[in-house]
Amino acid sequence: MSSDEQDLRRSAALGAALRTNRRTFLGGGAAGLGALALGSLSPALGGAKAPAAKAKAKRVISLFQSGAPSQFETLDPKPGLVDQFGQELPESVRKGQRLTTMTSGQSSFPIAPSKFGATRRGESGALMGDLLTHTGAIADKLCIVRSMVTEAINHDPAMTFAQTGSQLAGRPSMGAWLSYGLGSMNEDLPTFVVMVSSSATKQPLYARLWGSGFLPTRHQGVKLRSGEDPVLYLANAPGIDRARRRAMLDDLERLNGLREDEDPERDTRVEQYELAFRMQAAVPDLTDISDEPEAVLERYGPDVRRPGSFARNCLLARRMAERDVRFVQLFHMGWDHHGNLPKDLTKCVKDTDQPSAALVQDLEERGLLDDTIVVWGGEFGRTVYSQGELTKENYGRDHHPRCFPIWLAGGGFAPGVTHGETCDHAYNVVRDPVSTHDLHATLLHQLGLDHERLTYRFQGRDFRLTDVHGELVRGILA
Amino acid sequence: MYLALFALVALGGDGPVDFGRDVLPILSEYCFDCHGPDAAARKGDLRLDVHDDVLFVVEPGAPEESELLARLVHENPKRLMPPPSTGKAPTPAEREVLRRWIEEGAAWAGHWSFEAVEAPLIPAMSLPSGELTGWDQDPLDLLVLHRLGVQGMSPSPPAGPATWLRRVHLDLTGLPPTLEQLDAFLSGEVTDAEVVDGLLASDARAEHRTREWLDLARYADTNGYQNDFRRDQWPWRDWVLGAFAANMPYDRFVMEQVAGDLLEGGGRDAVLATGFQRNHRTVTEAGSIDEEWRVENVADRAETSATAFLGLTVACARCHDHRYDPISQVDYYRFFGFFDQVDEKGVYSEMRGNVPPLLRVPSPEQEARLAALNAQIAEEEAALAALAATSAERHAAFRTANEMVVADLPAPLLNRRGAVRLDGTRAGSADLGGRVDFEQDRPFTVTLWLRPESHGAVYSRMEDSDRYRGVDLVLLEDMRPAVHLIHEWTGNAIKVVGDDPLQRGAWHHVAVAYDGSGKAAGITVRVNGAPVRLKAEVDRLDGTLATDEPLRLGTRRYAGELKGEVLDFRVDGHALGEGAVLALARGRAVLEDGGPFYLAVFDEEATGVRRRLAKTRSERERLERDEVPTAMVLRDRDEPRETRLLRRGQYDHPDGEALTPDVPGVFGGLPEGARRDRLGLARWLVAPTNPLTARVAVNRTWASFFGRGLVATVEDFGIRGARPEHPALLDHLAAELVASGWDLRALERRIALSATYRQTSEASAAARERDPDNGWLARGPRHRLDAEGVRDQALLASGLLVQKVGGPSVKPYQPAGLWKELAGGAGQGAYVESTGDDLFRRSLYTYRKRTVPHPQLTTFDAPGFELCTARRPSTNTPLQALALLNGPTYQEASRHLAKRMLEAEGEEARLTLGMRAVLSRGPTDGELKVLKSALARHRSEFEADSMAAVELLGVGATATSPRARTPEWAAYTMIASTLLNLDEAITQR
Repeated sequence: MSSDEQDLRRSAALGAALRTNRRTFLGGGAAGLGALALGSLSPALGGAKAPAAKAKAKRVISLFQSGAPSQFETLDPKPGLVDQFGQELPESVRKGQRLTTMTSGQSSFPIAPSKFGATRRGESGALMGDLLTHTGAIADKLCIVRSMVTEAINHDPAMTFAQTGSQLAGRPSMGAWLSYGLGSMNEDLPTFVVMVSSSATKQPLYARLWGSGFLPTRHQGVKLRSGEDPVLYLANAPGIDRARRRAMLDDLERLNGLREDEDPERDTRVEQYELAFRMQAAVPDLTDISDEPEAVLERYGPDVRRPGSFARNCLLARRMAERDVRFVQLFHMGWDHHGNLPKDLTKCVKDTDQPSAALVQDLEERGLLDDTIVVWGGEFGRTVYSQGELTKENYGRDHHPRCFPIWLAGGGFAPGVTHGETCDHAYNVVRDPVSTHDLHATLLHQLGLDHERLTYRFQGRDFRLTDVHGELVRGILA
Repeated sequence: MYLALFALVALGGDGPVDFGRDVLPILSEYCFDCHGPDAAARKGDLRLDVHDDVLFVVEPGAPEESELLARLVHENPKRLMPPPSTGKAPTPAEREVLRRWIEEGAAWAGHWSFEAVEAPLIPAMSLPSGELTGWDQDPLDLLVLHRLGVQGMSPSPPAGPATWLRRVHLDLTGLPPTLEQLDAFLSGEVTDAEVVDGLLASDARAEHRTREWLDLARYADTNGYQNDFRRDQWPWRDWVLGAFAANMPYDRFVMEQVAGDLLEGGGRDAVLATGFQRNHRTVTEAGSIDEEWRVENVADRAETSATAFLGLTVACARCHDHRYDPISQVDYYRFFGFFDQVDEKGVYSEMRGNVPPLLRVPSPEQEARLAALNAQIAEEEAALAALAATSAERHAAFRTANEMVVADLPAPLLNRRGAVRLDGTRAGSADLGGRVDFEQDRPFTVTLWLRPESHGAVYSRMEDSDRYRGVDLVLLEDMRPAVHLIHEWTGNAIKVVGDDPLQRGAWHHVAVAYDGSGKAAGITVRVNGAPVRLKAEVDRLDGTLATDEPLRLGTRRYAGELKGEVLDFRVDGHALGEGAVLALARGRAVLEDGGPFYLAVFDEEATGVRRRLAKTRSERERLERDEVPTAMVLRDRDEPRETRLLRRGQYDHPDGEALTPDVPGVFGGLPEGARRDRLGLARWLVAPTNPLTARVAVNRTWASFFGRGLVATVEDFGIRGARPEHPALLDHLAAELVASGWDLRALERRIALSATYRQTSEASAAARERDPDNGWLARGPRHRLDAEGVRDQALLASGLLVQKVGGPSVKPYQPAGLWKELAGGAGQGAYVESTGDDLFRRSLYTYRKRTVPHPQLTTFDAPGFELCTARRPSTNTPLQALALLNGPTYQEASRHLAKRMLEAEGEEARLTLGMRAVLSRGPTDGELKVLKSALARHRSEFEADSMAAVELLGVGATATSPRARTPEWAAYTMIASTLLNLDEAITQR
């Protein structure tokens, strides 16, 4: 912290002392903000925090691969399919399960083996696509779940389900639940931060994916942007430097303090102005990576020098973990490979493989991986059969909700474990299916929250992230 | 009357337990999960929401013999209720309530809000003069006072006149008073009642009430899913504005939005009102399953209608019987059935704009233009008919001159002479087999005579999947011809669209020629020999067009089936030019019965009129297509759809028998002989006997003023909802609303002029602790301005606000890139800010893109407009502080407010003016001191750093030249910004 900055903060403290009728519950700093999250719930609108079990993790970094990566080229390769190139997918595999109308009219469903090789990696021997050079190198740190199952077959409902536990809009996202249930650990930064990057082609995203649903809006994710103003309106308006802003806030607090009647709302609002002022320093400090050693930058790959890239966002996620941001949600758009899969998927892997692995290693070396959960995956899987024309060189894959893989690292998840199994065509799960609700329940559990007790009453009903479902998946815990 | 009063007092105090108020919530909280209305979750075949069952475990008058009580404290954990695993246990106080209830005879009653409204006795009180002056003017206040007395609470003194004025302005219109309004009121020129009446009649009040209604109506300007395409539903929003402006009776307001299309004599506006039921999101994502999403539309309509009109949340009963409220799953699907009949699809694959059913809503000016064009068309048609009547001779001459000419063309690939009648159904289309192959690198020409009676596909050889591989010619809904050559839609295809529509019922000679170049420029379309101007909408084809599907006439997936006649369908393996095409057309025109064809193409005397007619028709089409707005409305199918219960709410699991539409059984169903459609529902909703509609409307209006309803859970009048602290007041106002002919304005007037509303909102810590959210009404209202109000107030105080009512939504300042970052421009490209006045319209008109809500709205707690929202939360966040401090809207407003301040003479007057413009009051001495010292500091700093002043004053579209940007102005701008950021500025108090 510069000496100027220290002066300004001292001035802020002075301003605080000038304020009258200060309510004290905010005084506790970090813990106080958590209390604030629950401060004003009246019984009819109330909710319940789960009693804190022993938390294994404090934070989550979610690397969401939007558009849905193919399992065949990544975490669930099926080398045996090479012999079945172009053969019709047997009806005994499909069993009449519904298809999207993009391929339901296809007259044939030719099997498309991955064009790329696959190798057993690490001591755990997890079979992984050869494209994943870097992720493969940390295979022993990962807990791979190959048996994820979801419901929807289209992006919008499937992504909404992955983030909120419901296909339909209106429910809080997981980060919002965590903000509500656990509060903040940091007095200068938001509790729940979202960052977005993309490869060339994009599937749209929606603000509801980090929305607060029926929870108070202060729990919604704050989107950190790559430009000069990473948080909306963070930078002081033209002509106003930090000292002028500080002096103006002091005026403002003096004036607010001159009101003679007591009003806790007013005190809370004044506090928000102070938090905003601190964020104005803390966010640029967070996003300015000039203090990162060259070796660290190189580990994340060349893209890290480009603001807004997935690599940069991974590095920023690590910096946020260091600053105790509770939930960091990355989205990388571009995995929706209906056609030209070999070329376009390679591009997505190039954008994401190295930085994802670097993040895990970087966290581990800094001692942060133990209490940080990193989770990587998309909204569903893709079909074994080719959408459109199948050649040796080119093919595409349609959406497939019946199975898809993810990986988890840190936060008490079992390293080097591969959980669940799919059939030879990676079409159906044959062992240990894990639903999105199960995953949510398990993530909450690692954070010390009982998914059945973390509730919020809305419209007369006690809502949960996991709705009325969710089983703890013990097999993936260390 | 006195006796009645004291009887009431006795009842409300430590008297007997009230079943509905005291007992039912406890049973609901602890018992209904397993012993409630939900049959599937029920344990031990015991339900405690039904009196007969309750008597199994309750012995009226004998608590010690009642199993119910014993189970609550049972030593054996297996018999203890609720089971310890639920983590729930009633408190000793709650157990005591149950004990007393049983002791007093275990009286049973229905849930309060499901019982009929009964106008209460009005307490007659003789009030001591002095502190309670004004409290005896309206029964409303007497009812409040009476309840306060019972609680041992006293009302607060009245707020000062300026505070009251700002309060009524904000709550009635969403805008603070102007300085002129403030001065007029404080000088006594206008009375309280005149102020309120003036505001009630203002457009601003209609806008504010519309703003509130739009939350319930989940109104937005995009369709909300995936690519989130634009829609134009603002004509419906303007209907709401008009309804509030005209003080439409609330029963009519409800009926038109539920069943305006079925009301006899309702007219266009009543149909427009049903747009309420189409504001839900609509899916356009390719690959989605139609029925899955159609069911979502219906469920959304049913659930929104239940919440907006009845204050009920029925969504739980979609998958299973409701856990707490007496609404079964069968009830749900009977109610769902009312909304299941709409003539709609669930998926409008990649379709932009409004999706049918639609209503055209021309402005009066557009209607006049349409009428003029129609008259002109009639005239030209008459002229053409006259020419046709005299054409026999000319046709004979043409035949003589042309009969020897035979088209000298290479052999066609396909030549089907003669007529094919198309009846507009898939079955009635014609299959021409697979003889003609179309390829991207091979030229071809399709020629035919066409007399269309509808839009739809003319011919197609195309796959029935979402990649649409193949070729076609279709007439779009507006009858313009469109040609597709598709390898894979939309990424690898050509689509061209002709400028001018074809005429229904007229013969046209149509030729589609393609030169095999793979480019849109290689396509020529000729109608009656003349080339049509084409617009290429997609132009990137690289791949085969071959498909196994046969060549068909009159049909193609999703294009609709064509009705009409086709003659002489021919395909050539070359790109034919004008001469060849005319030669083919001539072949039909030279026949003895070729008169109509001769007239269409070759009759030179008719050519002029025909061209004029085509031009006039094209102008009418363009007006209707591009200018006349449409709204999405309701229209039911001709064939009724059978509604069935959906197991677990899943679209593909219909279960059991077809259900007749009806209202939930707890309300006794629709009356005998009532229509079982939306009109029947609408009539039931507004029947005076309906226990909910009036209460819910009154409650919402109350919340508009107090920031909290008489029932705190505005959205939920069910058993889990909050109970009103003032039930008699709610029922009194509900009964009066119905008796007044559902006059909402009269209701608002009473509230605004009441003594209850006039109380000061200042309260001691003890008073606040006793009643944190002011349910008892022992003080006046205080709440933060809504998202729209925060911005609108800044615009008004600065003089920037443009108060134009209605019209398409506008795009005020928004940080660059927000849309692109999420959608990559997939739906609409970048956000393009409005210019001029539209930057400064009320926030009601701000464009609502559902997947990327405007930050001003979302930062200040506006909902995302995806679902019906009855109540907004009010939070405090650092993002709000940042937006108010640094957002260009507020910077620009501060500069303009500063300009206004500078127009006054002298520092004190200037500061006072600024404060009054924002807070409707001048500064205290202490405040003036702070402001003066701040001003002096800003002044000296900006004088020392004039570049900072130039920068500060350069924000927004209205910035002046840098030379005019003085340090003095900058200093006042900082003061103005400080004022706009005051807690008091964004609070109604």
